[in-house]
Amino acid sequence: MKGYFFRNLLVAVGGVALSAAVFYYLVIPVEAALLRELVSPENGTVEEWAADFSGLQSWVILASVVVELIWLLVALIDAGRRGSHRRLWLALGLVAVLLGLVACIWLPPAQSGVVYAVLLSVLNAALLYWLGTAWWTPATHKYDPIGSEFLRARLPW
Amino acid sequence: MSYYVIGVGGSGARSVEALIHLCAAGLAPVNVDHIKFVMVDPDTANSSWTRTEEITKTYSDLREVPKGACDFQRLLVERLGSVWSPFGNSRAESQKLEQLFNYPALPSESRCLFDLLYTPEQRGAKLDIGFRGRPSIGAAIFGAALDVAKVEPWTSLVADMSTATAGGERVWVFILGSLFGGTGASGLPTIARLLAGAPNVTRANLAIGGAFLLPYFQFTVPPNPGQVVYADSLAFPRQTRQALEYYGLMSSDYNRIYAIGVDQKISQKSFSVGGSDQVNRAHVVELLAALAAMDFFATGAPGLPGAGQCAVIAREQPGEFTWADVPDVHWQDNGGRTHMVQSREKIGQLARTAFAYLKVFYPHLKQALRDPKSTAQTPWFVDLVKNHGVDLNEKPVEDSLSAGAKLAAACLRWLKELHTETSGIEVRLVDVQAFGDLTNVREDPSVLDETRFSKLVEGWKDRSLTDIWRLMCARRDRGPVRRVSGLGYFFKALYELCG
Repeated sequence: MKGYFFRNLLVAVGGVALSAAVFYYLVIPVEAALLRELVSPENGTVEEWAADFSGLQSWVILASVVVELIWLLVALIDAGRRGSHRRLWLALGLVAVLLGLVACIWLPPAQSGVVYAVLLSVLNAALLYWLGTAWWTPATHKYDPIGSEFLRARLPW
Repeated sequence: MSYYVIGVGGSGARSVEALIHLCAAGLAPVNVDHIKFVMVDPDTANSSWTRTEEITKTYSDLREVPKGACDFQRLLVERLGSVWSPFGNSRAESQKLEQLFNYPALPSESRCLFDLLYTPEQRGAKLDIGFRGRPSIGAAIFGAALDVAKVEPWTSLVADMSTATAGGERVWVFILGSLFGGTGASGLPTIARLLAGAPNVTRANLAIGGAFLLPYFQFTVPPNPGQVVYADSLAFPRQTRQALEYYGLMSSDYNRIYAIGVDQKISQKSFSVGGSDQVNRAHVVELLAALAAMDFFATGAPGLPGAGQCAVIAREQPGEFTWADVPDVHWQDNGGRTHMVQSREKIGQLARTAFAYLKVFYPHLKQALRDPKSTAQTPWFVDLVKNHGVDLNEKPVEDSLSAGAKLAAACLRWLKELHTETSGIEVRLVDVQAFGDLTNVREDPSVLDETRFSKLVEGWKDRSLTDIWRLMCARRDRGPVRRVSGLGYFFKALYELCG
């Protein structure tokens, strides 16, 4: 059974790291570019504001990854014989969303368009948590995340 | 090739039961894919047959619906009719020997001969519950009643045999029964003789083997048994010796004989003259008889090395019976390569599958039937049941789940009996301490001690039931897999992970 744990741990950690990297290197730059068009900062240039947003989102990604890892660890240790942990998954998802929301406190002030930044921050936290858990949850709880059955059916393995 | 097994009497019934369990364990040689059974007993109410009939039906049912294409479903087991009695349908009238031979109407010379062969008590004893340990009664009745040209299932059997042998196909018949009681001792020589001499059957293509069970149980007859003629276990050794002398002196119709016995006989707790009161538990001798059938099907062809020779096996250590004493099954494929199936490995796999199914998976499947939401996110249920189009509310599916539980419970009970019904010999094959009281195990699996799962049979992986659950969850079998359908994906996965 060592093989089972090692494989699932490797898949989970690797998968989460991959998702985080995709967000960090692809999603956040696209979002920053988008916000440059939508936000009017109170102080400084829009580039500086977008750079601050990107920096803040890397902390949101990190927070979401930590929450994901907590879930993945629970799913790896618990065999699931007593049933699904969907409520726990939802609760942790809520924590990730709240962290995404709370992070917005540190956004630089803007005359307009800040609501888009808040929405994107919450979306980043939620989406990263969902994708990371729906795709990479260990076998015993793989269908606890909502939509994971649909998502995993499209996996080639 | 065609394979037939004929179980004669109570010991034959229990040996056939053991054979069904071995079929489920996947211990049959790979060339055997279809076995037809005939069950013979004048005592059709014998509880051993009731059990064997139930298990045969359950195994067949389980094989038909959830096709899993794994070893435990590989064999097709077919029963030719229900238990055949030499008294036919008239057994309810409590036949007597003198009625069967129309004693009052016999010519005086024949009556004198009859009087010489049978005592007045034997002539007048009711025979609906067997031959009461008297082969001399049984042989006369078998000889008179078993007409292979007129009586079913023998006519069908002989028709099959003659068609097959005429086409150059080899037919294998294996007969199991005790040599020491009434029914087996009288049926074993008679049935073999009638089949060997059946019309249109090419003898050269017919291989007949037999497992002759030597005395392995005894019982104490109460001071007033309520009958004048009854089986007396004190006479068993003498009867066995006489029977063996018969086979030694007379030319036999058997191509191969397996004589299987034990030095320390078990004591049956209660005495019964027969009928449903007669409850004899499973014994390792019957397991060996069933393995003898597998060996015969694998290697017993006339003309193969070994013909005319005598081989002897014995227990490794006195006082105990372990896996070292259970023969493995060897066979040769068409290319002449020898293969081996380990009894320990296969029976262990079956025991673990049965245990895991009853303890964990069957309760979950029942729960899914009552409350579908409860298992909606259970991975193995989604991947191995729901996504293969299985609807638990369909009657055949529900029946298969129930048949699985029945067969699993029967398997564990059989294994437990192998260990408990012994005297002076410690049977150490399976850790039956893990089983508890199995009477109601299908409804109450708490009697199964999960902590002993991985050590049910020594030498297996260190894999707990929770590990099996994890691996089931990790298994996808997206399919389609050839020859697998519906619930078969689930059973196949469980069986393979327990191996």
